[in-house]
Amino acid sequence: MNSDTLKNTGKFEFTKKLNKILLAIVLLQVVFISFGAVEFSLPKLIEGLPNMWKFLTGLFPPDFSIFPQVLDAVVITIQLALIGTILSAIIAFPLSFFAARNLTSESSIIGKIFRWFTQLIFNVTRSIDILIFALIFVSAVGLGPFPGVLALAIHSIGMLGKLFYESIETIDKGPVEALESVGASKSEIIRWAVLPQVMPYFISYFLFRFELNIRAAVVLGLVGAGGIGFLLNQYMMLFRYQEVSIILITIIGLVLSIDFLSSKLRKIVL
Amino acid sequence: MIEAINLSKVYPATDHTKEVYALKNVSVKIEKGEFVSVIGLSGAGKSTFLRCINRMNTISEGKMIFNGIDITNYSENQLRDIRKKIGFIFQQFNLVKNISVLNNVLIGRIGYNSVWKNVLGKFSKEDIEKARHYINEVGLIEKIRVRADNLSGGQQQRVAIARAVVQEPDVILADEPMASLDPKLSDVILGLLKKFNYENNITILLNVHVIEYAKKYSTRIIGFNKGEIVFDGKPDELDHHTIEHIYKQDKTELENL
Repeated sequence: MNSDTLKNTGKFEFTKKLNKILLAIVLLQVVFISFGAVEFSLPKLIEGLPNMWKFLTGLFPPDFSIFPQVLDAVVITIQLALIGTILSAIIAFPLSFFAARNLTSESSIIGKIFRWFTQLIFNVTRSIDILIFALIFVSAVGLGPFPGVLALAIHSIGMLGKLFYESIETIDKGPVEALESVGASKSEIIRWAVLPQVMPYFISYFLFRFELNIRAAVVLGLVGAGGIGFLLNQYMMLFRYQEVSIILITIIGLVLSIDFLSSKLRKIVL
Repeated sequence: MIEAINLSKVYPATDHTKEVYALKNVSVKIEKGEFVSVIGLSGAGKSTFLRCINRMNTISEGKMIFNGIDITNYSENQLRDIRKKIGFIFQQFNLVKNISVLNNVLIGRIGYNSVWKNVLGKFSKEDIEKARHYINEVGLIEKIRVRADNLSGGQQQRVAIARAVVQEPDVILADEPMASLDPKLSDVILGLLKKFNYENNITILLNVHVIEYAKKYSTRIIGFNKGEIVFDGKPDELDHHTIEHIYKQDKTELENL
């Protein structure tokens, strides 16, 4: 290396360092401005502490008398999540085969259009949050569990679809070649070489999505979709914190036990 | 039964590679019942040649005749009937790992059944009987219900052989079937191929890079060098000089490796 290039690399190092410093200044500025925009204020937080204390002490002792009512609501929440997840899986499952790059031939234009279109469906439904879908469906079909199920299902199509087609894209293509070599058609290849490889992942993703949809279904209750969230909202508005406390305990128990069950089941299938 | 006429396979030039002739003007005729070993360096065109026979590769120039039929430009649909008569054995076995040995072997019967029966997994009694028979022939009857990924490499390749034989094929194309196995197992694998060649009159085309095995098992040896056939004859005609010719390499090529 001659001295000329050495000098150049020195210069290059310097501009690189300068860029880093400038970037750090800009980032700090962004964070600082954002703090102002969200009206973050420690005094306000401290002022609110007595209210929070009142709420916390109000939770005790929990009032167990409404427990049967809470359990009914829990069942609805589970049903909400279950139906939402099943509906989304039924739709995402076939679509994911059109979205996977390794199953659509590069030469066919129709295959490309299908792939582009299904990926578009997955991306759009995935990027709109469940709550936003819920607001849309509530205004369309009114309050109740039905708009909640629709919101869960539509959003989960995108989530599951993406996970599904990505696991199809990572399969070992050896068995696919073996099926081709015995004269199998596309549907036979999917049945015998693709499905056995992806099914454990599909089931695992389904359970994982169900787990997430349980939490989402709780929140959906707050916007009127029924279930335990709906109950929580009602008692909050009545300031009946002893009932609220038993609802909160139930929610924690529900989420933890579903998490536990689904992770056990996922270990079995994978 | 297999005839290649002036067969060429060209991989077109891309941004960083030149146009490559994987096969150049290959003409060869293989008769029913032969056990042919194809030898040559890796990259000499052995695999490409095998994959042109069952048309897993497209053909650039020339013709491929199988059982008197020109299959050079056959569509995927037409190939179904041809491929069910051609078994293929892969270096990496290519079994479906999380299904049973029996189901893996039944896959060899797919070409004979209707699509909907295959998709529903409804195999006939005769198909299951045939599969059992060949699983027994390769010595794995006690493993019939075991998942394929619970088998050793040698056992998996024997399942793959059963899958090929259950097709009741005219020919089995074996692409380096022992290359990823313990050398001790080579005689087991090749012994099975020889047995089915002899007992079921199945033509065997074997890609192999160990010359001793080619000499020991085959009735005919074809040597490839840079996509061209440079030797075609009986095993005992293969002397030191021809072997050198088959495995001859340019200095520049070696440097590019």
